Amino acid sequence: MAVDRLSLTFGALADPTRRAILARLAKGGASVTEIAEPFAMSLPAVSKHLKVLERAGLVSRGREAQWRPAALEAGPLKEIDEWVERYRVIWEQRLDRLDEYLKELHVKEKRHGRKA
Amino acid sequence: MAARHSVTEDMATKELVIERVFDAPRERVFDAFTQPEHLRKWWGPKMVLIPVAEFDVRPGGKIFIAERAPDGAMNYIAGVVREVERPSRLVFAIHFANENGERVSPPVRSGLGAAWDGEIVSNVTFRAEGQRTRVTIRTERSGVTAEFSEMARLGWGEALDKLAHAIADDMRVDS
Repeated sequence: MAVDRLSLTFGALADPTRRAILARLAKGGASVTEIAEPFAMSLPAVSKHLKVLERAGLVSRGREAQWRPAALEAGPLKEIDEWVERYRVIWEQRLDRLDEYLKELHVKEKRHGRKA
Repeated sequence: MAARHSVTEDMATKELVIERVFDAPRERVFDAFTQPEHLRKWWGPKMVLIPVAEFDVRPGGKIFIAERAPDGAMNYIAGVVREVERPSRLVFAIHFANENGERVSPPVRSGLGAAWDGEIVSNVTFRAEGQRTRVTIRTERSGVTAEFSEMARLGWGEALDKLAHAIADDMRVDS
């Protein structure tokens, strides 16, 4: 995974309009005009948001010059999820070690004849 | 290995919740969790040494942990203890740091972008269950994953779940 890609993803997701555009695209590909409709937004404004989403790899654009329909690319979001999963694993392993350590402490204590 | 956590479930919650029951009394677990001489025994993976561990268990107390990987590479974690109620509760915030405890960009192997400058806030509760202790670590998704809950609200969870399945299917076909 590219190091800066996650930052780009977070940056792109920070804007509520862009998240709404992604939600719209989650239902299927759409042209700039179709995307702009529910937002009462100018076409250039939508294009600008789409460019940010495209740079983050969250959206891909079609080849047709006039239409350039946009479609959702969920890969980057999966990377965020993978990070969360990795963080979870780190802590699960830490707690495994803490568990072992607590058992060691308990055994040592018994050996020294003290009460828990 | 345990079943992979569902993407939808991850995104539907505002926090990452990790829970474990230890066969030890609460005070013992709380102290093992927070006292540096104990913490250094379990914080890092097996081959990672913790040459320095500071964990000042009081509100505003300093946290500083130095991790030395087998290849000698150092990684530093710094932060602050926000709330403490021994032996039931602990809130602390940590971030990536340099050897002076100053905030730095996440290391490449952390998987976080270089521009990420958030901190990770963990809210830990220690609940007595007879002679045992249930530890629950809730980690805010702020910075890293606050967007997740928003995306879930917007109905993204299902789409991503489908995608995850599609990718898994692709990989099966490939192999």
